[in-house]
Amino acid sequence: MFKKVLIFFLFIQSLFAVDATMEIIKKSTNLPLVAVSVSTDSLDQNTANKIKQLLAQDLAVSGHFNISDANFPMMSNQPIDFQRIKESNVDIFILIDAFEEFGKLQLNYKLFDINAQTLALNKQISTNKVDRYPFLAHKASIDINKFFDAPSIDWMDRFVIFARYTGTKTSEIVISDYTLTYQKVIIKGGLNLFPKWSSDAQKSFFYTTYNGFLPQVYKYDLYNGKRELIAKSDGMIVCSDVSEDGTRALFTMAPNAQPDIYEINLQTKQKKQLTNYSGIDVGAQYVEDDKKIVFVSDRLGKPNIFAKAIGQRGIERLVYHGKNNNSCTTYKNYIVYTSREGDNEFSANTFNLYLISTSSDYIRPLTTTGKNQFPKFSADGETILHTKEFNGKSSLGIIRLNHNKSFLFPLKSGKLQSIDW
Amino acid sequence: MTNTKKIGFYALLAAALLFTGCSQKQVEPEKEEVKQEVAQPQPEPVDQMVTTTEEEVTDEMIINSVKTVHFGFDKYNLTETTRSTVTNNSSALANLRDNGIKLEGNCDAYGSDEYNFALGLKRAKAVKDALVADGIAADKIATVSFGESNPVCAADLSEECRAQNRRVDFKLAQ
Repeated sequence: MFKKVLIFFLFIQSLFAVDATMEIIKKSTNLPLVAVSVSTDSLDQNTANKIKQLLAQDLAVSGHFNISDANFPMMSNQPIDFQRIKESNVDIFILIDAFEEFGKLQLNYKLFDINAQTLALNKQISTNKVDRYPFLAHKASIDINKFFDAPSIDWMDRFVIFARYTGTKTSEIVISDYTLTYQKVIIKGGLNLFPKWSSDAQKSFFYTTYNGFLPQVYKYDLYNGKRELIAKSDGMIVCSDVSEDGTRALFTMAPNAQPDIYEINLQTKQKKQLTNYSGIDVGAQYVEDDKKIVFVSDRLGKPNIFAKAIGQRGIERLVYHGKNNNSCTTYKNYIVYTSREGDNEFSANTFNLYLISTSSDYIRPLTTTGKNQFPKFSADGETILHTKEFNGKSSLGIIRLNHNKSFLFPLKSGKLQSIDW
Repeated sequence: MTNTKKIGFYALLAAALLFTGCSQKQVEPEKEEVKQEVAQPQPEPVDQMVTTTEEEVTDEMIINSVKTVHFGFDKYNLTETTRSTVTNNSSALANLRDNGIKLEGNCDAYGSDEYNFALGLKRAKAVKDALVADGIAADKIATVSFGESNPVCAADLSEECRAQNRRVDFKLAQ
């Protein structure tokens, strides 16, 4: 059984190694079928059921498993009736229970290989913050995925940070899990926008506030609640990316009302202007070991994606498709960008996402409806996070590139302004 | 601001004051009679009346009198019509006494928000450049963009509604 799973995962990895712009038509019958149940003696049935839903959802989002609706209620220490479960064609059975004690929430889970009729995994994980139960589900999913040597889904337990509009000139900054199940408002009051993690550690973030006379960017420390002024600018200021070592960051700033790309040394606060164009240059991101930037510019009359080596003058156009490409994300030689569809702003599918490789001409469409913006590659380049507006609803979108699958997690209130993870 | 425009602006304010004064006399005739018994008011020179009126015009009244400038979809250039609107606004704004001008650029809800903030700013800059060309001191003008965060119409997705959001507002820089 495990051999079958491993062969499938090796197949998936080899596909991505060739070219991610190729669409993958996956045969879902090859995937192992997983059933998840809550033990009948679980002390906290309500939370355990929520975790069960999230765990099953995570495994489905991973693209590495099929999920069965079959339920096999039983006591946590009851002997497993493998034959009965086998009759439902289930390959893997996960039994969970959860309980809260002294403000600490613990999740126990057992994984049974139904074909081999063995208990393959028996683990306990806990959190001191009960409202963070979604992360227990995500951590368990990551563990289970690792157990099968499947391609990493470590991005699942990362915090997502986003700004959402709550009214005219008002917005707040929120941290959440990728499903938006857990949410905590960090910054509120006035107009607070463009949150950006300051490093992979996710201990602090940059954000723009319009609560002074000039727009300002602050760095906010999640552990002590302190904030530090990084820079301010006439007109607008946005921190769009941070270097790998965390010592430099890219900003869109507009002294004299002219939006250009700047790089600021975060230790000395010295700034260096990287672009100088009379139109619009925004949204810069580091690429190629932070020696080059990719950014959005209207220098050819409409927003498009360009690249420039830091310290050099030449500028290279990267995208030759679409009428308006106003945001992008990069991973190695892959670029995901937005493109406006139709000749005007009235079409239903206003902005879609596309994936291209700088080493081939193939363009792979990733979305087909709505206004899709703010694409962000995961650290391993296999997943895209983005925002979506469709039928007046704001959602967080997840695209699993290797599995040709996408998932939407709607925001209950407000409208997503920008997002990072 | 040219002298011709300034005279025109003052003449409008004087006319407004004279019209308002006539209306008040019709409403309270008895008080007018009492005043006549105490002292016969002397006719005031036109210049003095204009000066009095000018003192009553506040910066708030001026900023509220200017018109919002609107833009085309994904555009930040002024058309002949919108340039004319800015010229008319310049005439009024030249009379600001204690405050500078803050130009707030805004966008409809299309495109990425960062690009929209830049687009709103370029709209504000286009208006600023026109005001400066009309004689307003550049150091009296601040620009800021609110992107799509400050819609005046969020009722629907019609073109009419969205067109109202592609604009530059004039505020006092206090």
